[in-house]
Amino acid sequence: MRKESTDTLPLLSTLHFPGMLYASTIRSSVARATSVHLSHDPLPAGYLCIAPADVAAEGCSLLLSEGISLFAHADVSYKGEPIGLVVGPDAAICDELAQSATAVYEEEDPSLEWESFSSSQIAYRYEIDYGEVELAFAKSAKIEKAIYRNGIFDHHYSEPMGAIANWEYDKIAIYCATQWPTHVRQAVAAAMHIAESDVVVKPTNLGKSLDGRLWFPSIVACQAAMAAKICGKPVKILYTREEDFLYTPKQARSAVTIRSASDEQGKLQALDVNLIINIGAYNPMAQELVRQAVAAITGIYFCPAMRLEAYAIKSNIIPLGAMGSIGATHAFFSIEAHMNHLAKILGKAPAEIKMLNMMSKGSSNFGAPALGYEIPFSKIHRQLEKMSDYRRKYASYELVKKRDPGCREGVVRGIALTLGYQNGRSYSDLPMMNAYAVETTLDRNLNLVINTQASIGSDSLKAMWKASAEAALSISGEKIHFAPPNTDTAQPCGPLTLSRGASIINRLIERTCRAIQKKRFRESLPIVVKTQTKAISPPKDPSGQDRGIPVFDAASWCGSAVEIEIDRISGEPKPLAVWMVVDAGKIVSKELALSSLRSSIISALSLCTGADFDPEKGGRDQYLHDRGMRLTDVPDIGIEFIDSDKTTLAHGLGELPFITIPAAFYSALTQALGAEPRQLPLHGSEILRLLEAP
Amino acid sequence: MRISEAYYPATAAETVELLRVNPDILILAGGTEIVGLQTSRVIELPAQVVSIAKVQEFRKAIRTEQFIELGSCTTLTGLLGLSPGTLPHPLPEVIRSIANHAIRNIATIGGNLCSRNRFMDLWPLLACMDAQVELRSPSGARWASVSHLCGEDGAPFFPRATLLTRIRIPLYSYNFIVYRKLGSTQYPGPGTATFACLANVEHGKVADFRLAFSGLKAFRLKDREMAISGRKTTSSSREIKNLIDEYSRSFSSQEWFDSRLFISLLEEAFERLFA
Amino acid sequence: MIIDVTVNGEPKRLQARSGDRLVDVLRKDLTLSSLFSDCLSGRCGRCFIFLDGRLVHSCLIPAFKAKGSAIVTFEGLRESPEVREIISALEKAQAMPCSFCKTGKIMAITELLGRKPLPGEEEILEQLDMVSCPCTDPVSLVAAVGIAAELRNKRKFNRADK
Repeated sequence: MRKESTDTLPLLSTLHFPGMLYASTIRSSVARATSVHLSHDPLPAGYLCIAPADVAAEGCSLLLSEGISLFAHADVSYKGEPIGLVVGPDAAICDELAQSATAVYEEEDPSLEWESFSSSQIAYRYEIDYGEVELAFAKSAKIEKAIYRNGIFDHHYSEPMGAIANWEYDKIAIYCATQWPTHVRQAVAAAMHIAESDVVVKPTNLGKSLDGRLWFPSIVACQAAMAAKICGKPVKILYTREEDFLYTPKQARSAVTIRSASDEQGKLQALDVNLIINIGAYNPMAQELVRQAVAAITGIYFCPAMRLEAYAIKSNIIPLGAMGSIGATHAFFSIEAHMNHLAKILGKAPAEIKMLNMMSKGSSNFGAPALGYEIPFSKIHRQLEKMSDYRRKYASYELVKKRDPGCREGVVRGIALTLGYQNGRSYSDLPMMNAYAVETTLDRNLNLVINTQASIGSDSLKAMWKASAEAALSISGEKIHFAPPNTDTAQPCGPLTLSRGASIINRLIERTCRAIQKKRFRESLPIVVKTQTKAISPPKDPSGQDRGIPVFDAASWCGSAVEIEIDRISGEPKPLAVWMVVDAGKIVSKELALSSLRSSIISALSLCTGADFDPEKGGRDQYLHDRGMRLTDVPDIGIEFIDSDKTTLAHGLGELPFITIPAAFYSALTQALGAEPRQLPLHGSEILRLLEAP
Repeated sequence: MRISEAYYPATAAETVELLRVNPDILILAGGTEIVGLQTSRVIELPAQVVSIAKVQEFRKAIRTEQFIELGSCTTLTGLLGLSPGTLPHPLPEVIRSIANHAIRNIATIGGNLCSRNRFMDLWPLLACMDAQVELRSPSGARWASVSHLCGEDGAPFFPRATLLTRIRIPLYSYNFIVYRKLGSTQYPGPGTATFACLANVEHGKVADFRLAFSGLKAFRLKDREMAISGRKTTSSSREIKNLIDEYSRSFSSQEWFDSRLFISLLEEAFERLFA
Repeated sequence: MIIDVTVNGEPKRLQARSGDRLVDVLRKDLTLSSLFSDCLSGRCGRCFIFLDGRLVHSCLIPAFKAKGSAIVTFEGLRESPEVREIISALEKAQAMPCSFCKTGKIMAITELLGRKPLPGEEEILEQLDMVSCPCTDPVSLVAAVGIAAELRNKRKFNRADK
């Protein structure tokens, strides 16, 4: 059997240290309380209950630097919030003891409302007021208003959440799967009141990065570290799959109200948008989530005037955050849904409205830097139409609906196209958010070692980076390795490295390899080259205002077409086929890119067909019935690449399916239904009700 | 509660004797329902458990001209492994749609019928096929209709201190079959239900009409079935609508499933039957 | 309780508490690291074993039920020509699964090819659907199984390479 690659990180499940103890989490049974008193029956010998008071007695902090409780003690923010640990030598016994622990709460009514909210629930607020909005509405021929909503989804990570803390010589070593090792180190150091240099984070195998392990692993790592300090032994916390499903962050719920003013032809004159994202109990990246959504809210369309209020709202449910694309999924879905609505009201084809409103070279939305090139809409659209036979199918399905509005006979189908983009930009003020660094070494044996924290990425992502290095240096892939991404030695990277930053890492690897190539035959080995991105401030408008505004530099573009059919008996929508045309610049490895896109398309389709997680319901039933899309239900997927500007740069493409597929799916669904449900997901009996409605 | 004793009887008689001594002892064949619905690391089981999966008597299959008789511990994969044509249509296709291959390797036909919490996938089809089950208890053995496993309130019913040992399925064929499953294929939940409708259509008339629907509870109207048998397949759309309305009126008082979805199933079945 | 089983051809006495799942006992007692106690509901395929010749989720088997059974895990198969062929095929198709699901997928493919020498796409997808993991796309997996089937049939029927 071929030897396991040394580049593959270990699994948390497989790691074991001598004398290691297991810890199970005691969780709050109420959604909101102002105090918690934990109690338990006498524990067997060798087992220990750790309550917040024990943590404080050790001199540790109970708060993450962003004000998030590591163990709820004075405030419970959601049902299931950790309030303590049971630690011992047997994981199963720890689980049982944790479940049998009891707590007394000073309970309060939870805040579950989020679409209408009090000011105390606002975690982050963002406003834009640009152009003559009121004038535009006053003069407008057509004013339309609608609310678009989407649900909560699980990430389906390969391994449940967990962390191990182990004192190794003079440092505490943390093992966990995280997209942001630096944050884990900072958090553990702050919680333990020790120097960051006394903490080393050794990331374990994350699998596919879906933006669900950005900051939450830091909480679990801190808990493990505290337990290790109190017990004087290594401690492992590893959630069960059900626990991971019920209590770890998921994609946030959102409600986007769009009021548009357009002329008779459907050209946008102004938008008035209210964007609310329910972040659950907390989310330290609320600012990023909201600003990314704001930046994407106009999609690919030009709008001369805009008023926007965007909120991240706290509520007493599990923390909620990103999935696959930070905030952009919600925004794109909403604006695309609204443009299709305009098309329907005006009796036009959706493509016509899109063309009419498309941004062009030199145009700018709410003070952003002007678009420096033409969006490759025509090229992408033409190719996508050809691949999917869109025109014929769209016209056929429209005809079927006209003849048989109640869908009594024949198939109930729809098809839609969506265009979207992904850029590599963060909109956060935090300096680490846009940090990417790579150090590459060609050693005496002509092995190339790439040192970056980004090597926590999946094997397929690393394979793409390896292919870039291979091409740049003309050396065999077998001679290329990634240094372990531990925080002591690896070059630090921000949390977006594996989502929109993957192409930036690729560029940095290429840059270092080219530099090595120049020096290779002139200098003695080893040759070490280091490079990093400069910290990029959030873009500002001409008045110097910091705004969450769309930026199209280094953007990759794609068009997605989705064809669906509705089962007339169960009402469930089933994707029949998906097509994508991607313009992401240089493609390092076409096979790997295709494989990665296909996997992401399937995950994105799961957002459309999967169950909307209900955190208030909780429970085993939801866990047992939740799963991603079945392989047998995966539709045919056709993907083509174009490179409209023949660039030598590779742009990121991992988020493109999450940005465009839900929007396209929804639009296809509205055609099939002949109605606009204005939410995703939508299931069975709701769809049947819409089909039957006059 | 934890198991203090696990028993491994070798014969049916030994199993029945264990029931006699402890009428509430848990009989475990495949165990996929009992274990599959528990997600904690340690499985909760009663103090005394009997494992019957390896009792040979419960795994035999006998076929005659009139029926096929299956041991209750025959796994679902084992059923699919019987020679083609042994199981009446559409049983093989229905079995193949249950859970996944690895679960079918341990799940048994008896376990599928004996669920205490809900009706599983095979019940409505076997009820329509007039399948029978052999029930053995310390007081003796008897055959009963599969419908006997449904209480008066429509909920699953299984007599105490009783063992399901064999299932007998008549080899009577139907030329009109509608079978549909709604909801999760792997884990039955509130949204999961199974619909079966069988009939024979001969010389433009419907004969032997049966219709059963089950999930958390079971629903069947035998008097309606008798009324439908004998009708012409060219019944008017008004007559078909009346039939659907009668069924849906009776069903609407049941609150265990979305009646809109049930009506969709009825409409599909009747539209196909009376097309 | 003591449970006598055969594991990978060797007789073993497993020490299990009542209520222990077979996967946990095998993993702990015998340090069989190919097994993961993950979903505990028969969905992820990471606990696959052959129990008396049948592929089963060992998380769904209470340990006491395995008494007298023959158990084969990935460790017992990894050096077999069948598994080597499957691994080679996965590499060729660039469909190598991640560390979490690799053994589960290989066990599933091994079982499938054992009963269906030339499985169709639908059969392959149904089989691999038992191992839920988003790491590999289905097109690559189907290609890999096709390659593995070809390699196996070549070896079985002693066919020369073209």
